[in-house]
Amino acid sequence: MNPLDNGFQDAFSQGLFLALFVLQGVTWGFYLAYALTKKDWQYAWARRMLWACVAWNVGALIYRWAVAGHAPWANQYESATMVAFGVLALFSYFEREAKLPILGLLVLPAAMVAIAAANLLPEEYKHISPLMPALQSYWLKIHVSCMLTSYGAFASTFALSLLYLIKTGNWTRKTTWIALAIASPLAGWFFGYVHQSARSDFWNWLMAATGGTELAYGDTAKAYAICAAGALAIGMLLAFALQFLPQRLMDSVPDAGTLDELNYRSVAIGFPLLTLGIILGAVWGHLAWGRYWGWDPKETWAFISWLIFAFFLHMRVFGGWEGRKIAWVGLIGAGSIVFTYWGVNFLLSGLHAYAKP
Amino acid sequence: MSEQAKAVADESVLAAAKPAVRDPLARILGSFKLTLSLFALLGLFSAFGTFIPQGDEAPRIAQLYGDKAYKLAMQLGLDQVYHSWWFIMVLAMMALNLIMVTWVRVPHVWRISRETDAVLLKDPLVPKTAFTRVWDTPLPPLEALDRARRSLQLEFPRLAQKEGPKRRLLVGEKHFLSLWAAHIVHLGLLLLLLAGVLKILFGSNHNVIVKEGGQSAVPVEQVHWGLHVRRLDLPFGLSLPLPLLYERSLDNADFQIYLDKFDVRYYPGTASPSLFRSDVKIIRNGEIQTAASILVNSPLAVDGLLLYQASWGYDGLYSAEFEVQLPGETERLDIRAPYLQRIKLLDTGWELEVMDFYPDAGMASPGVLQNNSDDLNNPAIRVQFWKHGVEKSLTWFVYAMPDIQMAKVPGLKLYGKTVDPVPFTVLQANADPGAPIAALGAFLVVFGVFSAFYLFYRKAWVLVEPLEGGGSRVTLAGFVRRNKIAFQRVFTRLGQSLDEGLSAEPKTTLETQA
Ligand code: HEM
Repeated sequence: MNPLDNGFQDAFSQGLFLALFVLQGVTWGFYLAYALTKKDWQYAWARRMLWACVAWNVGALIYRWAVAGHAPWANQYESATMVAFGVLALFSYFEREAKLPILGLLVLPAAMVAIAAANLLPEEYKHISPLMPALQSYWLKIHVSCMLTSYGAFASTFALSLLYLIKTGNWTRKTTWIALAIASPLAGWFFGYVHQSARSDFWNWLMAATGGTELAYGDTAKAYAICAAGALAIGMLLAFALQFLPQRLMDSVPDAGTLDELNYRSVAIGFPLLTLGIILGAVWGHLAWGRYWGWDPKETWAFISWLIFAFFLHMRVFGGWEGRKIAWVGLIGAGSIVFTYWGVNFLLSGLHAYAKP
Repeated sequence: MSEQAKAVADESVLAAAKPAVRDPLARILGSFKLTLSLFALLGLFSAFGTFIPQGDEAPRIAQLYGDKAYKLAMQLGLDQVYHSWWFIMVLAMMALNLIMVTWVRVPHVWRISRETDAVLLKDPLVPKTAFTRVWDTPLPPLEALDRARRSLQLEFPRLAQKEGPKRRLLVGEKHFLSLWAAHIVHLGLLLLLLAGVLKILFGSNHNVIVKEGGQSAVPVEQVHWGLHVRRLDLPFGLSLPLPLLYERSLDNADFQIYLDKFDVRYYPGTASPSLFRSDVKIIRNGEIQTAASILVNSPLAVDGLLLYQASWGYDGLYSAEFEVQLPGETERLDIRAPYLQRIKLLDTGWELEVMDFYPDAGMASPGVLQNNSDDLNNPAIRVQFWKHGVEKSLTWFVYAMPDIQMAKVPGLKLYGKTVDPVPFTVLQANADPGAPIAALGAFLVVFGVFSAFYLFYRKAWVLVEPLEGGGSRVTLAGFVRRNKIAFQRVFTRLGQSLDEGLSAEPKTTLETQA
């Protein structure tokens, strides 16, 4: 398909995902309302909206599939929308078991971040793009969807680990400030890096946005610094806003033991999917590249994430680690998944460099 | 119940309890601490290799981290992390660790099921990790047992009954497979490691380049069994005889590959290929054996070798099309020139020959052209001109830059139109005798991991013992290794069912722990 030929459908498809973002926001609102006021009808609506999000996400993916003519997870933008699906679908499965509405407050933002990050990509990354020959295989459908869904499962691990640490007083307001002070400039730098290497109208945009600063075209160091500073400002605002979340929110959080057990369960759901995804990738690698394992950066980082969660499981079940230490391992594992998924694609090169247009 | 008996009960139920190992070396090799250290080391080393470009990419280290870092990395062998002795050592230690762990623990798992029952028959107290509930009922033991069976069967259709001197026991078990899952995973991992070793020892992986209309031999590593002695050189001029059971040599396969046609297509209006394909013929003993197409994602198997489409390029031309403006003329001549062939330009007295071709021309230094790659990005041709048999000019013309005319003869100009280059294909010929073992290992890992986490080993039992003043005491107990939350619900259901079943004059004591 000619990528230049489907302007309307392309834009419509992106519109559907933007709408999904709004829908997720509304759903989050219901979870928040329920956490604060404990009215059953709010929770019922939160659940309904959650299902609506899943359905909308599936619909948007199907539409994209239809107009693109290939499975809609062939570039970074598309894969992020698939991860959002993984987050929501596995969470709605998991929530039924866990009966823990407060979790939605932390997991939904993970899906929202996925969609937001996709939309913050340079324009040329978002278009429906034609499939390169290496991707023309039904393994694309199987391997990639399995990987992306497993990423989604670890959003619950992230949320539960964080909740555990908050509940037990190991994660304080100060930790939030520190975490956001470190993470937000990194995200800003990453944003600048991705945009400038894509040579979109990044420079014009940045110069216009920062009217006062004398930014010279091509001065990447300064451009990244500006992006990092901007993101830091947003991060600090967020940290500030979070101070106003009432302590009462934590009332409905179950005891630490239950959180720990649920955390283990969330990994028990994600880990098999990740294992299957990696092995399916090996099968595909055998068919397309003539080797099932080649220590390509993407493969290697998937393997590292897998090791971290294998470590998590061994320690939790046989190493006598519970609670705090395990929660930290869960957070590190979730971080490793994010790096496997986004970091490798943009910061390291290799055969898996399908992200770029 | 004695403390000791209680400990036995606990241990026999918990797979995680540590069996005693005496040999200190075996203890280290089979230790969980070693496992964790190996996890950490493997993760660190692997990550390391993703930040340092490996193998053919190594020169990029200099760009990323500077020349000094590059030199250091090459000296330390950091451009070959995944093939370095220390990386292989970690993998080997992992294999040893896994073997030891399996060796020590498998018999242990085997005992779990049987011994729990035996211990429970001797002593009613159940391990502190299990869920329990106790009823005292006036029903006679046999009657109570019968009712308990009906309840227990709701969750465990197949029940085993055991009888002790005074006590009777009903045991139900589900997903016994899950108890073995860890060992299945570990066995699969061992097979994967073994497959990797086989690939290193006996595998073969070489590129074959075939030009369109040409034929190439296929290099392959052959293994020759038998005793071979090689000398291993050591420092200080020493050397050690190293006996080997086989030797490898790089030979040619019994067949050759002829490239009929190489086809590459692009998505309209873009530079992204939509397809590339080699139409080949397999030639054996000078005769055509088969014809086939090789595409990415669709390799061709011949004689235990798999031929993969890797890449392609251009080398030489069939012909080039261009326009020539001769000195003093205003009209341009349309030319289609075959490669390396001198042609006459009508009856002007001029002749030309396309002498050379660059598919991807670039400036090496001002006025000096070089070829940057085998991709057809920026074609340039080198043309020699003669007038009345006298050499006049020999220069490069870059198709994309009609404004730059370097011919020394004033007024002689050339404007490129198209080229018809000769493609070559790069195929990879791989042999990997470890592949079937890797496939089996991969299957076991996936199968094991899914049975570990999606099937929950669960066990429940009912113990009925006579009470001294008549009637019986019924103890319901349950045990899971994971997913206590889900099992709690099952256990509650079982309890309710027993509440009803035993309710002919119930006298209940409740006691539940998680
Ligand atoms: C050096 C390598 C390893 C050693 C020595 C090791 C050791 C162990 C041990 C002792 C157990 C308890 C087994 C039992 O008695 O039931 C276990 C469980 C397990 N191991 Fe490993 N392991 C290793 C690597 C791995 C890796 C890389 C994986 C990756 C998937 C893995 C997956 C599992 C699983 C799924 C379980 C069961 C966990 C559970 O029941 O929750 N092992 N391992």
